[in-house]
Amino acid sequence: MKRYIIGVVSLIMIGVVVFPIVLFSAPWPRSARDFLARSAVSETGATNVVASIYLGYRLYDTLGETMVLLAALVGSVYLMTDHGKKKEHFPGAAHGSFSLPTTGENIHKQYKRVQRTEVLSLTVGKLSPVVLLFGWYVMFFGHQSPGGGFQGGVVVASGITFLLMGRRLPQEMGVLFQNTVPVQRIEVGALLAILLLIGSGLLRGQGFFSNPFVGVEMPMPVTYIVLFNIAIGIKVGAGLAILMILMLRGTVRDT
Amino acid sequence: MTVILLVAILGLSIYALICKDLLYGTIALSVVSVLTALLLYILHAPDVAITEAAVGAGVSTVIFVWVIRKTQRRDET
Amino acid sequence: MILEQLLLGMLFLAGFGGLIFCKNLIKKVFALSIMNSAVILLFMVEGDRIGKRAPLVLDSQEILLLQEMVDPLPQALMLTAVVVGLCVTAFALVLVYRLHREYGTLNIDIIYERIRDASH
Repeated sequence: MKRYIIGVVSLIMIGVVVFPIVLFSAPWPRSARDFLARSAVSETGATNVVASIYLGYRLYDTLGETMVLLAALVGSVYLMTDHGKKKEHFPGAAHGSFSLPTTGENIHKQYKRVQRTEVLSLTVGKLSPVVLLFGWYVMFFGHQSPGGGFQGGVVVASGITFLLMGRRLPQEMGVLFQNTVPVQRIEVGALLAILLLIGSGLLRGQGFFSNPFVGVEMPMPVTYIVLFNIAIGIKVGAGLAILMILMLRGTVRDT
Repeated sequence: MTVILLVAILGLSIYALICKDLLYGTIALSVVSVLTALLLYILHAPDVAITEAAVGAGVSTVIFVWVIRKTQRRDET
Repeated sequence: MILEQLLLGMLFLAGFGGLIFCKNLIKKVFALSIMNSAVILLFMVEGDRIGKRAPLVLDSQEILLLQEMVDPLPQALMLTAVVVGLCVTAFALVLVYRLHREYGTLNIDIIYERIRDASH
C-alpha cells in the first residue's frame, strides 16, 4: 500500500513538471530556419536540408550517435553470448545453450518446426533481395531525397533478417552466416572509413569534420555527404545484422 | 487528422501496458510505431518518418519477439 | 494545438506510469519506448508550426520556396533520438533476458526477494 502511494505521488510530481513544458505557447524561433533556407544548399551542396544539418553543420553529433550505436551493440553481443560460465540457476530459468540444435538427432525436431512455417519462409526468402536493394538505394540517395545512412542501414539489416528467416531446408541451416566474423570485419572496415573521412579535412589545411571538397569544382562538395552516407549505412547495417544473426541463429561458434 | 492519430496512439499504448499476453503488447507497440511514422509524415518530416518506421516496426519488434520467445509469453503478475 | 500538446503530455505520463506500476520487466521496456515516441512527436509538432513545406528541394522548383519550410533543426536532432532510443531498448531487452536466465522469472518483486535471500 505504501508503494502505491509513493508511486502516485511521484507520478503527480512528474505531471506537474511535464505539463507546463508541454503546453507552452511562446512563438517558435525562426532564425534557424531562415539561416538554413538561405545557405544550406549553397554551402554543402545537398538539397535535403536535414542531411546538410546532420552531415554538414553538426557532424560531431552524428559521430556521437554512431558511437552510442557501437557501444550498445558491443554490450548486447557480449551479454548475449555464452562465455562458458555455468552457474546455479533457479527452476524455470532458460539455461544452457540457447541456440537451435543444428547437428545430431535434434535436427528432425528442428526440421518439423521449420516445416510448419513454410509459407512464411517462402515469401520472406523471395522478398529479401528486393528489401536489400531498397535499403541500398535509400543509403545512396540521402543527399537528395529523404533517406540517408541510418535509414538505409536499418533497412539493409531488415533485409538480412529476411534472408535468415527464409531458410527452409536443413541443409541451408548451416551454410548462411554460420559465424559472424565476416560481418564483424565489414563493420570494422566501415568504422575505419568513417574515421578517415572525418580526418580528411586535415589534408586541405582545415580542421576535423570539415568538407575537403569545398571550393573544388570537379568532385562536387556533395561527394563528402554521399561517401559519409555510404560508410554510416554499411556500419549500421552490419552492426544490426550481427545482432540479428545472433538472435535468429544462436551462437554456433564462439565469436 | 493529427488528433485522431494521437488518440489512437494513446489508446494502443495504454493497451500495450495493460495486456496479459506480452505478444499482443508487442504487436500493439509495433502499430504505435507505424502510426507515429504516419503522423510524422503528415507533419512534413519525411526523414524522421522513414527512420521511425524502419526502426520501430522492424528491428525493435524483432528484438522484443526474441526476448519473449526466450523468456515467458504470459504476464503472470 | 493545445489538444495535441495535451495528448502528448498524457502519452508521456502514461509511459512513466507504466514504468512505475508495471511489475513485469518487459512492460517496463514497453514504457521506455512509449516515452521515447512521445518526446519525438512533441518536437515534431512544435517544429511544424512555422512552415508548410517539407525541408526538401525538388529538381524543378526554385530554392526560394525553402523560405516557408518547416524547421529542419528539430528533425535532425530527432533522427539521433530515434537511433538512441533503439539502442536503449535493445540493450535493456538483453539485460532482461539475462535476468530471466539467472532468476527464472520476469516479476521484479520476486527477483528482488531472490536477490535478498541469496545475499543473506
